[in-house]
Amino acid sequence: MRALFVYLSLGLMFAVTETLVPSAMFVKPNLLLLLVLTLGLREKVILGGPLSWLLGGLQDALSGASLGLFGLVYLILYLTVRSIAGPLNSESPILLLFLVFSSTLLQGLILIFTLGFLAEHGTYWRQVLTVIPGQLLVNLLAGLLFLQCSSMLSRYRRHR
Amino acid sequence: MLELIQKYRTPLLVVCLIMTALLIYSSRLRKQPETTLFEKAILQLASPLQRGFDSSTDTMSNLWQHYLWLVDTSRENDRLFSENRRLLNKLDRLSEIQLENKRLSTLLALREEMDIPTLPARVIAEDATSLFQTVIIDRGLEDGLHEGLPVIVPEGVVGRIIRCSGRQSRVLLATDASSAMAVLVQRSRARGVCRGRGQTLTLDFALSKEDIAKGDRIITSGNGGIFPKGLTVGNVSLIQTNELDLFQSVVVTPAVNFSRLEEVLVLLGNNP
Repeated sequence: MRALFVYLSLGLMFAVTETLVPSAMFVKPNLLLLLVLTLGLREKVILGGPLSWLLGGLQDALSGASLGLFGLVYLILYLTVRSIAGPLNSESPILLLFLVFSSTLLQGLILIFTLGFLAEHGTYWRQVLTVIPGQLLVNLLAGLLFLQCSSMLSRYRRHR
Repeated sequence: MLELIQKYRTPLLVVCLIMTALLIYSSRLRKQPETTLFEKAILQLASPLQRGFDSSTDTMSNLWQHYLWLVDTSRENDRLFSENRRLLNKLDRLSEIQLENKRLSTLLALREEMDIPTLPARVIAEDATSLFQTVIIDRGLEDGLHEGLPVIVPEGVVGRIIRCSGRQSRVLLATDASSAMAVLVQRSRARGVCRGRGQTLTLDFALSKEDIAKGDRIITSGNGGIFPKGLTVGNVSLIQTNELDLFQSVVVTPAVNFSRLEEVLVLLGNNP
């Protein structure tokens, strides 16, 4: 229950932060994706599945997407990461960066298919493809920052 | 006679001097604005002395005040720095208020121009993703807003409300890929549908035979039931025609700078 509360609070904070980034920046870091990846590496499906859908719902509520779009995308991403997380070293910082890179690409692909097949707005695929290179860079930078913050937090907890 | 003069030499001299002085004075009274040669000479002579004295007094005073008598200088410096910061801050706020006043005056002028009841709103947040083009305004159901209402600024069409909560609403910008509005070319009255493409718009369903030129203004046609007729959408920036195609490919640059939206006007009574 505590984990659910912590993840949701962090998700809400991240989603609100994303809305404060001016659109003049062209691409915004996808902070919720980092949380979904952390869920995929650490939490079991019983908690991680609904949580990743809820995080997607948060993203939908604070963006122009129809409710459920990012919920579906994040759930697929979570399940993909969860399915390969077993043999991986979840503490490795390089692994998180690699996952950020590959899941940004995968997210773009899922978005194109979802919007293309399920919604009637036909031209989103062009925008998704245009945004992907910048999105990769910004997400990797956000991933690095996330790693720094989490290592600082764990050091602080060890000291206490 | 000579003896008499010698005897009264001093009183005579005094009288002569007084008389001369009086004569000179009375003659000068008539020619007051002129500077005499004597006065010029004296002024000329006195000038370097006065300057020298003045500058040396200044130097001494500066030396005393700036290098020797520095009892309150540091405190005064701190006070002035803090006052300077306070004044700069105030100046920034004033210039921001001035700019806001200018924007609101333009919005008010537009509001008075419109026949339809309107509601001003402030943009408080943007979309959480890079993919969708939406903004959040600080008015919602409690202010009488609902989904589908058009949103404009003095420059032209912003978009329409797609989500409404009690105190805020989400506006789908005209540049979003899911946004479409019926438009016409102001000059030739050619009709089409403007769709969002991220940063620009495209004019779809404009027949190849239609007269459309670069720079043409695109306005809303009033069809579709959302936007009233005659609102500026943008200007044609690129045209590509192919003889084999039924429609021409037209790119429209929006009239509104969507990255700098601050205050908007929601059209309450939809009257296309």
